Amino acid sequence: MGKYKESFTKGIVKENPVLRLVLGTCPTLAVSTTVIGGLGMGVAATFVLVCSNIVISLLRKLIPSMVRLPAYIVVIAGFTTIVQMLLKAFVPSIDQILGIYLPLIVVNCIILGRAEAYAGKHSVGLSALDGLGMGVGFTAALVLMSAIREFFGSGTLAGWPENGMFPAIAVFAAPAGGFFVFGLLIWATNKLSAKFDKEFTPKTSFDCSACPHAASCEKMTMGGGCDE
Amino acid sequence: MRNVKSIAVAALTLTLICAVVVAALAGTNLLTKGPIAENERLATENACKAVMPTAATFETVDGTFADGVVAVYEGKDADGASTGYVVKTSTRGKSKDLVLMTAVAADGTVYGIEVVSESETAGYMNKVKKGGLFDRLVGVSEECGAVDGVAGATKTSNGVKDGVALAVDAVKEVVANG
Amino acid sequence: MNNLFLIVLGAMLVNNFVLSQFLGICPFLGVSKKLGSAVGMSLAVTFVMLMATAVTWPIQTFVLDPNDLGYLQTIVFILVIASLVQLVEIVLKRFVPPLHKSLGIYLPLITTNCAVLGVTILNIDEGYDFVSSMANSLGAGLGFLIAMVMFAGVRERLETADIPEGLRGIPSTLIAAALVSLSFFGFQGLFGL
Repeated sequence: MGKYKESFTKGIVKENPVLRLVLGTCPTLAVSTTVIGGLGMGVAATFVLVCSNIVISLLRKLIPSMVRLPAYIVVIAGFTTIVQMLLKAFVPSIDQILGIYLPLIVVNCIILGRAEAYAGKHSVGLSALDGLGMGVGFTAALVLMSAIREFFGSGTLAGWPENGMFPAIAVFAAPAGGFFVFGLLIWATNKLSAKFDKEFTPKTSFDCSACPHAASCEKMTMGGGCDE
Repeated sequence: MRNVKSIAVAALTLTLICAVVVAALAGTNLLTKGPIAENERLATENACKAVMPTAATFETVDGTFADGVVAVYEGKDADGASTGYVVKTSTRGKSKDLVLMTAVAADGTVYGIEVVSESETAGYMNKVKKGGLFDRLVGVSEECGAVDGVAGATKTSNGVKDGVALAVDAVKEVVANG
Repeated sequence: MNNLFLIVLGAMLVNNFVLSQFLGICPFLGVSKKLGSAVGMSLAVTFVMLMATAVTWPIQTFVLDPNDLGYLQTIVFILVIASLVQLVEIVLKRFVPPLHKSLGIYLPLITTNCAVLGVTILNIDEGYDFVSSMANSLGAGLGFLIAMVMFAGVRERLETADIPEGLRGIPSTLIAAALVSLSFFGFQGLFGL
């Protein structure tokens, strides 16, 4: 039972994809201007993550390793499009907010990363829980970040109150505010982690360890490319 | 030989996965096509109703219009009589894509304007609304450009005026062509 | 002509892919530590963006749209981009080995770069014709290059800077990115775009 609990909970705090592993940065920065947008992106990505983890885990013995990555991408792209169509049909307002970032879930490195690092090697049940845990961690980080940006940037929380509680500090909602808040959040995460976890060492650079293309990154390290 | 076989198996597996995924997508598409079309129709209808509450239904008017005119709708009341036209325009204020819905009577008089979407610098559209530009434009039937804009938001004002002017011209054209 | 020029400048400065649309953040943060690799990566991205647009635009216009298959857009585009990257790598390796040596290592990373998929989808969403789409892709690629080069410069300075301990590493890099992004905020509203 322990390993099931572990595969679910690790994504939420210990290996939080956004704050600890620093993955999926594009959607994290882009849709975190409003809580509704952050929550919508989180839920949509979690759906794709869980479904693709289940399917890939089911197929893991059938897919030849030569075409592993293309096969994963096809499965992920399929679920991404399904989410896109469902949102367009039943929650058009969320589809409007997420716009281009909705189809771009397909290249969210958290999803391909989990497929490669976990679902391709573990049983269906574990993979589903892993996907759910990572998805919840991703969603929680997005909601936290968008709450901060919306509160300061528009003076509202999830659109309430309509005219804002105080004059907004527009830069928080601007792209620059995204980078800034993200930087501070990671700093806070490192501080808190160091306090509660004796063995914790903060990630110091944007290495490619969790990225599906880690192999080619190592080639780049020799050329002085990716962070060592 | 073994190499050829493994490549064939790999290609076959990938093709199969693609086929299954495409089939699943086609299925979802069948399921969602109806609601999506309905949503788009409702969105247009609601936007039209906001500027022309007297109409019950709206019909798209076919024809080619000037650049910036997205669509022209004719409003009909419950008895099917025309209540005038609603024109959707997309113009450029300080930024592009300033989308307006303008209700225009058959004689070319503006009687309602709503902003559908805009990407002006935050606060500018509010300034224009508070500055009374929209009220000044209602009742105008020609030379929208001569209406006073709002000081400090000239480009946004001009974008709005351009959109309304386009709407008036489009309706005059539709009426003239019967 | 004037219009095309505006599209290129718009995609490059006003709606800079990295700094105002958040597309391609991973390579922006990951490969910007050294100027040389930043330039190489950006050139490879620009090249693939142009190629991908040249292929995906006709597919969308002549195959997907007439047959009402718009819902296959994401899956078709990503597969096209992935195969294209492979093809480019093979061709470069076979016929232009020096170029392969300098750009080839970045190519596999580009498959899952959201900037490339992003620009092909944006071209369709914006309703651009073929030439405008190519102009937009060129602008997006050049914008990526500018952002990467500027940021590589900032990071080289950051290496030797005295930063409070907790902020070292990722947090300070992100805050530096915020400042670079702020400088691009000044282009907002330029050319009425």
